[in-house]
Amino acid sequence: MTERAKLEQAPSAVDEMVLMAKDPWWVYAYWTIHAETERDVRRQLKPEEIEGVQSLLRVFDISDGGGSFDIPISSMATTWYIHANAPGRTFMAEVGIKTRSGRFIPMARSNAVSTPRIGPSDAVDPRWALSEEEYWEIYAVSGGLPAGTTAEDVRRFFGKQATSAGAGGPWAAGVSSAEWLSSGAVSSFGLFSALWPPAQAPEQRDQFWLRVDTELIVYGATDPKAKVTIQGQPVQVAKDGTFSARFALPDGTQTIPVEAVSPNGRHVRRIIPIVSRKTAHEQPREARRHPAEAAAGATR
Amino acid sequence: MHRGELVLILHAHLPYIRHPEHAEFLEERWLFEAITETYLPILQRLQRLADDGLALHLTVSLSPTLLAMLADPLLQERYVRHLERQIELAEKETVRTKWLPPFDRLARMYAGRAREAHRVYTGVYRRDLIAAFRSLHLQGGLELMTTCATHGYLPLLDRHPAAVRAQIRVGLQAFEEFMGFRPRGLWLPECGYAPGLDAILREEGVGYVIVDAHGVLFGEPRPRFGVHAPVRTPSGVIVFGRDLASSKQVWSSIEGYPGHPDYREFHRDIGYDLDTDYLRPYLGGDGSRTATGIKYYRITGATDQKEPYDPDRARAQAAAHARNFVRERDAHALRLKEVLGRGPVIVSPYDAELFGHWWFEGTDWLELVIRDVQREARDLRMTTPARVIDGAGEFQMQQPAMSSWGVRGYHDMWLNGSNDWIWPRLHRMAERMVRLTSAMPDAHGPSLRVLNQMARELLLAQASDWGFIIKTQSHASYAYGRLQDHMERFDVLADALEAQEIDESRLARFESQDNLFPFVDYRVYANLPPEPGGGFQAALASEGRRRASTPSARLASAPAANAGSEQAARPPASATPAGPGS
Repeated sequence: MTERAKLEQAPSAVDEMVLMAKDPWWVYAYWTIHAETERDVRRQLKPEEIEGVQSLLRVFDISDGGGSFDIPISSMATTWYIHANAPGRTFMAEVGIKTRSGRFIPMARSNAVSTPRIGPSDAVDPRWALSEEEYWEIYAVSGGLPAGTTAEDVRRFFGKQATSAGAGGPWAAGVSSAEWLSSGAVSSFGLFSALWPPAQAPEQRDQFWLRVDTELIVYGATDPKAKVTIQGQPVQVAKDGTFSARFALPDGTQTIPVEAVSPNGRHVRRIIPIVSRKTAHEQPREARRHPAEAAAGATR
Repeated sequence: MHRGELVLILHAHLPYIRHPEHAEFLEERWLFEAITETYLPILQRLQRLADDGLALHLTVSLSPTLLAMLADPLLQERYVRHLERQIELAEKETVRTKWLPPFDRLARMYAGRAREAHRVYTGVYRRDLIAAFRSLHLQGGLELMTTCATHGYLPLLDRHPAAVRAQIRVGLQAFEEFMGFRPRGLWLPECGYAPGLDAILREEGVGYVIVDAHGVLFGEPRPRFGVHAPVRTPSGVIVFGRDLASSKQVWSSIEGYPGHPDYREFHRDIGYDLDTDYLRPYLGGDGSRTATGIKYYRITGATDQKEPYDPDRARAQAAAHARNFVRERDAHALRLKEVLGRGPVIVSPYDAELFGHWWFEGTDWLELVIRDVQREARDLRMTTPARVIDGAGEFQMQQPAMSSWGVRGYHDMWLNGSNDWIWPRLHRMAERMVRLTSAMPDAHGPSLRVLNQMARELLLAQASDWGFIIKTQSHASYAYGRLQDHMERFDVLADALEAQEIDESRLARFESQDNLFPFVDYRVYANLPPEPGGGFQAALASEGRRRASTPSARLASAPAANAGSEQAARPPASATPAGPGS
């Protein structure tokens, strides 16, 4: 097993099932069922029930007026993303097995978890009362929405009618509402490059490309205690008397006086390399057929 | 409150990265870059504003892990050496670009900046940036706050209330250790909030927190003033909701300021362009290319052909954007006042590292915004959360909705296919921590050291940064490595404790490698609030039940019967199966 796989495994001491809200429409479930528990449960099956047994998640909406639904799962699964599709409701789940005849035997039960609500609360505090229209107007003017959004737009977006009380249930808005909710905040430094991605890496560009620069290294040697300048700027001399300087070399001519002054200051030596660079420009063109290819073609 | 109030908040945070076992370590550079490009410039500019007699009604959150790193002598020393290498590289660049205007001027700019950073860090602040922030707080009115111990994402940790409590309590303790006083506010990591968290926050003495806009907009009951007035939770914590308009102007990848073509291009760094032989002394240990901080190009547009950076044009653009920001906020405040019937509170929080590091010109912009608000704005003034609270009358009571400022507004960033496996591990570690704490309430000697170190390993594993990094895939292997280290060390320690076979030399090694928060007391996992009293326990238990109920239908049917804001926000709890971790 790889190090990573070992890291990701997390055996627990007891059978457990945990639900975690992920967003208004999704709940994440993970569970651990021990071999003994599985054996005990399977021993409860009557002989005629053994064939066609299906592992199952049974999800209960335990809010008012909620029901339940089943999710057939692989017997090897230990995690699941449950598409509860019901913001602002409370869920609980069991994992177990169901026989062909429909008998469900649970093996573990989860905690209760509430999905976040989306859209305004139905509750209005009489001391801080505001009408539906006022709420939507305040929402629309609070900003961060597409320009020109009206209160009516916002209300329609959240699928609420003026008179409906709405106790929850699936929202047609789904994923797109998230664009209106979060302003794409960078919540930590690492996400910056996701928001402002670097210019395409060379390998991703559609057009073939080439970039060429040139640099010049001017180097030499003299008495270790001499003072050396290049174009008047002092350069460090190493203990062995060598020195070196590196320059980006553009088109044009550079006159590079290199001067060394002896330690006692009485002697001067100067050498002046003159370096020119120019660039011949060519139109981009397609490659000619490689001679080997041409030869191979000719012999067929 | 006839005027609008602008609450600018900078949240400064980095995960705890300290590797004494290596002579140098690549990921430690995140701290060095942030100090050079964000924290030092911000400190200098705030000082300049204070010297000019301007009020610093700005809020800065400094995370406990960042504080710990800023105070750490090893990292301070490494930073100074890093600066010396930066100066050396920049000076070489001034020679290399001599014949290549305009790059020669830019190289000189970077050399000057590096030398200035060295001078300011060693000479002016004497390596103590925490004292610098404290001084601005005392003299200039800068408000300081902090966040959870290791920036743990609370809504997904709340299976074990003790784990949530520890993140909060240790975070506040750390801030007090470094600053000498308790902050009034707590920055919720990623603005992650779940209804009911306010009870623990209150017990730990937190006065206010910030949540994303939809936390308040969808809170219960409906907010009378939208997101533009703070609300008070049933437990008494004040909650500020983020203003989206001001966020979008800065953060939006489409419309936000930092994407302007004249601003410096973050991704074109000489570390990726120049010859590796030349760069070798300044790259990472394995010689792989990395950013150096010396960048010569501007964004230019959606093209690979980047143009050379022009600092003067960029600075002028930052000034224009600052004026624009203040004018927009002013106009928005006026519009809101008309609709709300009172001056709005506009809360604009940002990651501190955006300014100066990601957005090079951001520190210019920030300073100019602060100046402009005080000079130009008519319907707006800058203030801090504490001043809003102290100056306000009554707050509407509300339980905000579950929310975060992460992408898509909920928990997706930290709970998805790439990183969901982390949570079962963290939950089981927390469970084991709580169990062992309750089994050994009065540990001493080596057992005490083991339990305290287990607490450190647990806190370090809980950092939301790891899951985030794994999701965004930059440096993912480092994050995996950290999780592995802390999870393994925790297990090794817990096993040793249970078997009562403690290897003291190994314990000492863990203590020195993961030396965060020396003052940590494992008893914070004893699941008890700091003050004894049935009232708090009962409140906690009832909040736990409340979290599992949906009172909205009940409320909607009987608004007239619920006289008073207290009752409107706290309906009878319905019977549910065992709540999380209680």
